[in-house]
Amino acid sequence: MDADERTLVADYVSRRDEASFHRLYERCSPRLYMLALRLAGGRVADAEDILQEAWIRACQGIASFRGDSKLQTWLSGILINCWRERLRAAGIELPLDQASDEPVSVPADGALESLVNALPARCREVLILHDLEGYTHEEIGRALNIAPGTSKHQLFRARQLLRGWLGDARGVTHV
Amino acid sequence: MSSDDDKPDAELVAFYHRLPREAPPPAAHETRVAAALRSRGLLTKPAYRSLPLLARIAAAIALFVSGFAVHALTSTPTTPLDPRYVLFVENGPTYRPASSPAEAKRRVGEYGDWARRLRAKGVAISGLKLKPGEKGDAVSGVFMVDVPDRSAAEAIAAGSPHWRYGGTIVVREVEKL
Repeated sequence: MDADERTLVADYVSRRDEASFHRLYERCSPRLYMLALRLAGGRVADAEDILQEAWIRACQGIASFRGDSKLQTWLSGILINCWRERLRAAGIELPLDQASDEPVSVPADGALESLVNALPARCREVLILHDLEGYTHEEIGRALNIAPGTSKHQLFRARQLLRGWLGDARGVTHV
Repeated sequence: MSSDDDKPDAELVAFYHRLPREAPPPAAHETRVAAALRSRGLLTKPAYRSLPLLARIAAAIALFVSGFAVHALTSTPTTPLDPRYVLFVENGPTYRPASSPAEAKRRVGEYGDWARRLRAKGVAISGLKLKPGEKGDAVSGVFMVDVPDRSAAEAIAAGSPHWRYGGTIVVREVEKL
């Protein structure tokens, strides 16, 4: 955690007022919300809910945050847990290993974000955490309660799909 | 990108670089989160603090000393108000200004409605909206209340819609001359 982040956290912990929370929220929410949107496959209402829950959990535990990781990283971990719990509460358990020949619709609008949102849910989770958020397969395994090998397989599939769609957009066929 | 050996190829890296890294949450989201935190005791009540002396407010206070009540934010005439407390509506560094003249007008109406609802409940309250001041003057309006003690004045201030926009309210007691 850098000096600015330490100041923000210490300020909120000591004051617990709207101004200090606002500074934390303003600094960290844009990246968190982007992560929430991607995990939720672009569903705004779901993303807002898990972001709100993440902030509540963070403010509950922030006094004991030791700062041994970046603040954003710590918050992202909380948000991912909120996402996983939301799925469990809804009775949704993503298959550990979706069939590799399962048909996947190519996003029609071609917008970059749509390509990520169109990935099968488990592939999308792993790709977001590994390639976009920088988690290792071991860390993903702990976060999603899957084996690192499963994480690698899902990542391989996600990348394969993305390359295919990107190639289609350019008129290139990947073999 | 990932810190382990399983790195994406150049094509995917180029794709990832084109993806946005951030997205601002919807405008009302922070307000909802703050309300949720407050309900769990994770956010204190609005802070009250002293303001430096404001020459622009002196004229407004003088109106009350003379027994004349101005109802710029309400339309229902009442008997002259003898306020014991003044609530300074302050736009500080966290204040989120209205995004358009229509939004500004809507907010003025919202503040007036808030005051009218209090009056309907028997609270002696009146308000003034101030013109934009000199550079650095952050007070946009005042409410005057005739309530028995500071805690009552602070309770009224805590319900002001100004907090939703990131502003603050400062409560000062009127000195009877």
